[in-house]
Amino acid sequence: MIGVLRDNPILVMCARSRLRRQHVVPFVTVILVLCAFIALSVAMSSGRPADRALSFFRWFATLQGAVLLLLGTARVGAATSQVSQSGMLDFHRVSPLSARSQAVGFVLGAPIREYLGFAIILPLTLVAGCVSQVGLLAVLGVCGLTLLSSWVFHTLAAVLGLFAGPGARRVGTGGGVGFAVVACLLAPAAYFGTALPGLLTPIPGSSALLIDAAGGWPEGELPASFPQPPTFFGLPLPLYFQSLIYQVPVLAFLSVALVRRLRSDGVHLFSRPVACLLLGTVATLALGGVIGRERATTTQLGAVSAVVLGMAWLLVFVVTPTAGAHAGGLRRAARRGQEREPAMADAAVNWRPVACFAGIVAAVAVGAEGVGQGASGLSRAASTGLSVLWFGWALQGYALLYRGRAVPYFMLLLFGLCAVPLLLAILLASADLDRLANVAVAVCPFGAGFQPDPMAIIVHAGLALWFGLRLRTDELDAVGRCRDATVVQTT
Amino acid sequence: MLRGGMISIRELRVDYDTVCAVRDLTLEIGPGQVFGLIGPNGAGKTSTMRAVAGLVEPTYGTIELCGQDVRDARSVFHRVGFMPDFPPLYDDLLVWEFLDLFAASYRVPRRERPARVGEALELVGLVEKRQAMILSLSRGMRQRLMLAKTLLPRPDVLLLDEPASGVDPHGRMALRNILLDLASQGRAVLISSHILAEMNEFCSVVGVMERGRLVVSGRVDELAARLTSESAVAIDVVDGAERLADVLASRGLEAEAGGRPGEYRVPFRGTPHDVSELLAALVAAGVKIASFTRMKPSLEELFLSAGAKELS
Repeated sequence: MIGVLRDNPILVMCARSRLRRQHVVPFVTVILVLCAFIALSVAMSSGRPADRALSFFRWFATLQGAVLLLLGTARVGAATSQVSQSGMLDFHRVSPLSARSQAVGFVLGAPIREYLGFAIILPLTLVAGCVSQVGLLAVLGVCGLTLLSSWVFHTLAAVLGLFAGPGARRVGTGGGVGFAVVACLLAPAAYFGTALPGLLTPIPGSSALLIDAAGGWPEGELPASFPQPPTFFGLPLPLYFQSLIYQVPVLAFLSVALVRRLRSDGVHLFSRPVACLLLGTVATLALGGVIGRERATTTQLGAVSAVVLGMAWLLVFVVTPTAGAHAGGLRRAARRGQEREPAMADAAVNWRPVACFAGIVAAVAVGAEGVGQGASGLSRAASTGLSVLWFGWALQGYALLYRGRAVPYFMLLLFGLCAVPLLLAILLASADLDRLANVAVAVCPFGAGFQPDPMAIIVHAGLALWFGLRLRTDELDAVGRCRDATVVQTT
Repeated sequence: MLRGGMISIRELRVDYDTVCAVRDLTLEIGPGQVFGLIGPNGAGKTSTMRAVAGLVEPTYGTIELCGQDVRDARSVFHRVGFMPDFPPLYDDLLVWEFLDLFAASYRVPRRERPARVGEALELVGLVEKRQAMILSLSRGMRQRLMLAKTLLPRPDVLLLDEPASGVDPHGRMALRNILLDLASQGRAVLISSHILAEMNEFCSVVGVMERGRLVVSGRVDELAARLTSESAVAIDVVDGAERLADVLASRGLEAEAGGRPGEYRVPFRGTPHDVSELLAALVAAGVKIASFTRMKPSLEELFLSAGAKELS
């Protein structure tokens, strides 16, 4: 790490371009004005000096978080989308500078002005924290968690920025910020539902740290209905440490994706084994929030299933090669005297990773259900697992068949598969046929995790079989075409 | 085939979805050679260049730079300078800061960097712009700055995609001198361009690409000699046009009327000796000739027609 930080050219370049006086002076002025505004408004409020110091601390820490997490995320996304679109990235790729150094340079360098803002507020936060009963250690803990959480979202924004095509710079700038805002809004879900993605933000961990530093909840102030704090596989770990447990692996996987993407545009974000490992990690983290919990509700179980299912669908897009990439793989294999690429190679048809994802999703359903009251774990497992299978194979089949138009057509298919059952469900429910309405909802791919039903299993199994057979035919066609082309070329 | 390659490409194929951009390209460029890849837009020049620079993953084939496979050895990029066709720059940096960024990227020792930056700026004639913001540079200056960046690490292999586009004649002359100087130092240079006049100035060897294939390659003078056998003769006749037609007809030739009265163009394949015989015959027949010129088609026409012919 020190190696990639020392004399990092990207870091130095960012510092030079973003810390010019004409940019820094207005930025620092705005920060100081905001700090003065906070100081003035808290100073004018009534209360004990220690309580007012705590208010100071909260406001300054929030301002630090907003500056670094939100503004910084926007900045990193803008920087990577700019280098990607302008072609500047190619120069860095051709230079001997490693992709790891580039990643560190962009993630730490692009928001350097925001780090300056963070540093300017830091003395105020430290003083306010030390004067209140929070204490220096907790202040440093909050700052540390804010930094770690910011790195998570900065890295995410950097990855999104590299996907920004011409004229789509907002993907990088807005995408990361959007995720950060949504995660912050979902922070209370760490208490009420699944621990992901709320624990990716510094909010739950910092709040818990402050409450602990203040000696816990005052007697009688905690409402009886307040949900119990999340546990990790039943262990009542402090939320601060739980945040670290969630943030560190997510940061690690995002860093892998960023480094791969900086290395080349042509590779998938994750290799197939790493994608399976990522889904396994997300599944473990999501389950960690409900397994061992005393009162895991249906909503929490549904939320866990939904998070893992959603992640599996996203990863299906990551591991599915385009028709061109698949054909390239076939040609490469033909040169080696093989019929096709190995199953876990990027260019091979996504049979195996999709099956792996389906297995993980099904295992999560079983694991999550095991902690609930219901006995429908196997039903939910079959339903969600099969839905991942047909989703993945349908996407791959469409990619081979429709090439550039694959994604719009696939989205149209999904829309049809969602809209028709939901419309049917509404009609059935309005006719008081609740049982049938539930079946209709379960058939919808997005209902797979929430509404397990034997009928839905049959439908999902049918879809998996249908798309699997179609994909097999399309794959054989592609192999045949490649073989014919090779024969023509050699003769 | 040229041997002892600093740049060695074997059976390279590059595909973009359904489009085959480069098809089974084999090429070797030795030390001291300036190799020009020429061809129309979409011929596969830039794809070749990007594959050699490691920016595009070939479908198959091997590319070696200085004896090392580009996919296996990132360290080889210490020895490669790459300049794309639309050079992007960091507009919010000063000129010296931009060069310093790449000096650091190429691991030039910190103490040497200012001198190395100054040297590169001097080479391209941008010393006076050292403290200027890149945003304020003209297009030609940006191109020169990009060249300075490319030369900064003193690379053994240079990959230049359309290096002279947007550069004024003075800059082109400087570029030519720089490339000749580099070649004399034993560096290998691969240039791509669709402007053939540029290639004539810069390259010792050229290869014509069309639809992803290398259709002709060789030294510029050899190719020119081979292809100028299909040239024409321009004759400006003062008097005796009928006799001109007779003489030409007796040799199986036919004159095409030019733009002005008395101006003719005669498609003519033959050696210089054949040309002199034709002139002597015309003079002997009493044709009064004001001028008699062996027309060499422009390099552009020659190379592109050569490419098209090979493909057909």
